[in-house]
Amino acid sequence: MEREEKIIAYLLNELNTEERADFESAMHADPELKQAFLSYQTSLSSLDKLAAETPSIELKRKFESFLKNEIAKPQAHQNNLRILSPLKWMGVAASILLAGFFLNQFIQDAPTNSDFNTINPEWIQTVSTGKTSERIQAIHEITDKNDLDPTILKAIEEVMYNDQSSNVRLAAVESLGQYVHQSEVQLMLIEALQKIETPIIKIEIINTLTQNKDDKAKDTFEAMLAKNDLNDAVRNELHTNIRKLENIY
Amino acid sequence: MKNLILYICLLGFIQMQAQESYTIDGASGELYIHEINKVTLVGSNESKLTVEVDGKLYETPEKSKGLKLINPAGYSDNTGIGLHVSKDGNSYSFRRISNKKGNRYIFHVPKGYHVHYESSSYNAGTLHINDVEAELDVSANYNRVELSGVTGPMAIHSVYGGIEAKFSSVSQEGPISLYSVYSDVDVSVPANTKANFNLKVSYGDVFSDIDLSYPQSEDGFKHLNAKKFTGLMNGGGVDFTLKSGYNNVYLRKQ
Amino acid sequence: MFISENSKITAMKYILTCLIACLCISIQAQENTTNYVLKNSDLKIKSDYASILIESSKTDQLELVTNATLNGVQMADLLDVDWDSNSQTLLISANFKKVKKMSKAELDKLMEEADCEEIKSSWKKNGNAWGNYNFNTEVVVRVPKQVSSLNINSTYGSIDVNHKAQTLHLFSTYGSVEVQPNTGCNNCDLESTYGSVSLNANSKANSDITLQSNYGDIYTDIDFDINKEKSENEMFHSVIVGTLNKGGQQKIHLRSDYSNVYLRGN
Repeated sequence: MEREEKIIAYLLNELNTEERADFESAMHADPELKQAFLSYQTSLSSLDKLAAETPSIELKRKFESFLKNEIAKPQAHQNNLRILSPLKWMGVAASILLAGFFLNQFIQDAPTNSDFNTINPEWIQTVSTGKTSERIQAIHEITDKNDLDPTILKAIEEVMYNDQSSNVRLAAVESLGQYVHQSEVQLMLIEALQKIETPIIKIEIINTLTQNKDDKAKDTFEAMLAKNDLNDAVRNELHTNIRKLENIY
Repeated sequence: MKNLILYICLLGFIQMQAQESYTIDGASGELYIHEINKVTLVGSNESKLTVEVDGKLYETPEKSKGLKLINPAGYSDNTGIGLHVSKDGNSYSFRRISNKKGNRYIFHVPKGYHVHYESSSYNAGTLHINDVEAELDVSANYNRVELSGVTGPMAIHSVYGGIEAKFSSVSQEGPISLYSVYSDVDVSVPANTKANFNLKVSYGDVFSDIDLSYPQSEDGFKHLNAKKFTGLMNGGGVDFTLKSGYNNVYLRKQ
Repeated sequence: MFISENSKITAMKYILTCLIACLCISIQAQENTTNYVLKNSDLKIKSDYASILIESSKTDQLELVTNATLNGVQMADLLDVDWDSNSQTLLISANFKKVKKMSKAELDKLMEEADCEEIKSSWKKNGNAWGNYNFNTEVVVRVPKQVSSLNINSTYGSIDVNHKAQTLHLFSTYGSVEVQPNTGCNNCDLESTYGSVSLNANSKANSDITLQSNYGDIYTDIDFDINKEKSENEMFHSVIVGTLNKGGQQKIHLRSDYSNVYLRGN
């Protein structure tokens, strides 16, 4: 085993007791080996700090609880119901209009007279309690439309922040990405880019914002790069996408 | 005589390699695996979930006798194999407790389980998934992910690790998504697979030996883009997304 | 799985040498005792190679007992001890240069002095290559009751404390650190970079506890409340912050970067 391999194996606890003892003795006797060891140790320690963030279970529960409460609420405003065709379950006759409650409790500043304030309870049920694949499918299908209902937009934003699976949160970003040309979606993603810590979600948002080819994204990326606490993969993605945007202008 | 000696030696070897394990009765439920390095998931026809330590667990120190292994999240080793398990209804969460127990953990997973794996460690090693028919949800930063004999549905991503998957068949029950930011995504499917392949690369290329058909859009055009396109296999079927940020996507038929 | 013949022979040789050394140490052990007068209750010890064992003295003086052997043969001058009476600091260092400077003839003569035939024959057989030198350096420090603060810093040696002191600051880079039961420290700060760290503490005390290990594990049999917000749980970086009973009186800080941490209740 090469010296470097042995150092790494030691740090990763891959040596057996005898090999560890041998290595430690060798390190006592060889200052160069010890120096090399300390250097590797420092490098690995800095890598250790790259722990990925996951949304708190409390947040998820809060979200699920809210959605469940909405389903349990009395069926009001049924005359405003609009069936969203791509969803197979949207045809359920007993659909409940949740938008009024949704808007009041979820989004303080949303338009109250929207024509699109509809959301199907089964959809809510699916995105809050369904299997991962069902949640991803629900997210993709509901955004497979030309215009995005503000209520649904808000619900997908909640999924992007709170779903327990980062694969579902990734699907939420991909879906919102179809509407990144809308300023409200762009602002929503810029805000999320700064708040969400999970590297894969940040990377997806960076790529999505770059599609818009405007200065807001570039300014945001540059401001983020000025901070020191970025994950390496995210930092790399910001650099790459700034270059992409600079080539365009 | 020679063979007899060989068998005796082999038996001795197997006993030396005796694995430590932990079992949960029940053929279905949610399985969460949090931050456990070196994991293998293997499909099982039994009605119990078993976690095995591959090889012998590292020697428990003499000084630890009478003490319990604890971690900062307040969990202790309640499995005897360096892991903590917690139960919430039909849902089981496994967490790593020991920093030293660097063995590979083999989870034998019945079909009825829905498996969630998440890891952010650079030391996570390769995640092996063999013959698992359970639904998979994998979020990794550094793991390479190797799958064989799988069917989907599944959602798998790794920031740095590559993904290689050999499907035994492709389930139509739900979407399949495989995404690596920095490495290849290499997938092979049976020739009779019905799927809508969404193939996306940013800096790499897409390679395939499958004759895909390309649907016309409402404007009457087939939208073909070398970096992002949809192709139907055998007339289309389940949504099947393959994506690589900085490397290639390979789609093969078996 | 397969061990080469050479490895087996090397291992056998090693085991044999250790056995011989152990056998002969028991035959040869002699005490070199020095006494020091203390002015106050603070004691500091700095040591490089020797393992340090702290015991309570029956007198009001500090007693130092050194034991140094080379292949089981006593070498009284292998350990240099300096006493700084102003700062009440013991400086203990192993002077291996003395051995390195010795000629082969001198070393052979020294080994002849061993009243242990196994050592003599082993020396003759294996020669004086540096790998055949088996040093053992240990110091027993007997401290009077008045010493309530101990500050010990060791590079390679282990530290073992069996004395009641209010304040303990014990640090070893490569050796283990251990505090025996009923020592009653109020401020217990134990740390080793590569060795294990072990404290026997009073489980009825009101303690603020911090236990840290990066590449090792943390064990305890005390049920204390873990503060999850203050604790850190990253891969290869575990810090457990907690409170035993009401907390606020005793401070326990145990840390080992590469080995295990043990907190045991009395």
